[in-house]
Amino acid sequence: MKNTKDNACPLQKGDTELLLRYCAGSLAAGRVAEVERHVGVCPECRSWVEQQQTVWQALEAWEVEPVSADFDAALFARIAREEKRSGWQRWREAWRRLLPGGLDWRVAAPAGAVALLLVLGLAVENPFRREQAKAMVKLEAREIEQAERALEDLEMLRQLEPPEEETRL
Amino acid sequence: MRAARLWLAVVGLSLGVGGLWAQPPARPGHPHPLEKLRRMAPEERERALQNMPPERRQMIEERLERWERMAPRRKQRLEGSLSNFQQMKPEQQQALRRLAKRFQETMPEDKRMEGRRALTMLRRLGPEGRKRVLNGPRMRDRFNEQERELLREMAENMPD
Repeated sequence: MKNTKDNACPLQKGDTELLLRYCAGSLAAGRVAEVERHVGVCPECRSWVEQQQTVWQALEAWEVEPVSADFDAALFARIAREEKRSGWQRWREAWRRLLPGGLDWRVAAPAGAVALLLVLGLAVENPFRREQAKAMVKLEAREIEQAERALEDLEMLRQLEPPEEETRL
Repeated sequence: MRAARLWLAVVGLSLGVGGLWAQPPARPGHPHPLEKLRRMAPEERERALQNMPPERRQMIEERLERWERMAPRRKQRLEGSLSNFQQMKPEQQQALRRLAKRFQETMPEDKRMEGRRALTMLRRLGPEGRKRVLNGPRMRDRFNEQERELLREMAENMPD
């Protein structure tokens, strides 16, 4: 691997797999030296490798908590208990998990009332608006009649006027 | 205290929602229906008139077309007359409509043109002037008594 960044840098080439394998220690010995030489002179790759190594170190330091000997038995017993509980109990339990401090009815009641109002407002058709819509339709029909009457009146006034050529004078 | 404030908020919100719910929509300005009809695009007009009986609809369309074809000056003058007519009391309007109908129905066709000219002149005169002209030899020669009475009534009832 050449040291020039443009044609040999794994990050420039998008070959992060090579660096990952280097960090995981799964790279062939011959290539390890080559990557190490490059990392020594390339600050971007060095930074990338350092970050990966931090992750690897954290993973190596993580210890899985030991499972108790009766874990399986306790788990099955809990599942059986859950299946016996009523829907109401499960619902309350879900709310308790959502609100660890418990459900304060002084807060819940007004909130419920607001929700109910909103649902009613959305669900129930507003009779006023329904009447208004009817009025609009009626108004349109009435407006057409008014326009028709105005046209008749215009026609009447036109017929009572002297001929056009005389009025122009 | 906190619960009381919350209930107060619920009541306030209910009143607000109720108020919005019941508030009638804002009413825009009201141009005359004829003006609205005239401004409509052809397809809008078609939709507006679609439920009308065909004869009435045809009549409206013909009159609108005639109106659109009218010379601007005449249109303006007739608009003024219509506006004055619409400001008259309904019973006065009705009376004039009846008189106009009588004019169309009873005035012989060959006299209508002269009748219209006479009307224009009579409208410019006061009651005494009208009486003098209507009783003058020229009017007596041309129109009979009923026709002259009709012209007098029309001249008195027509808008400016």
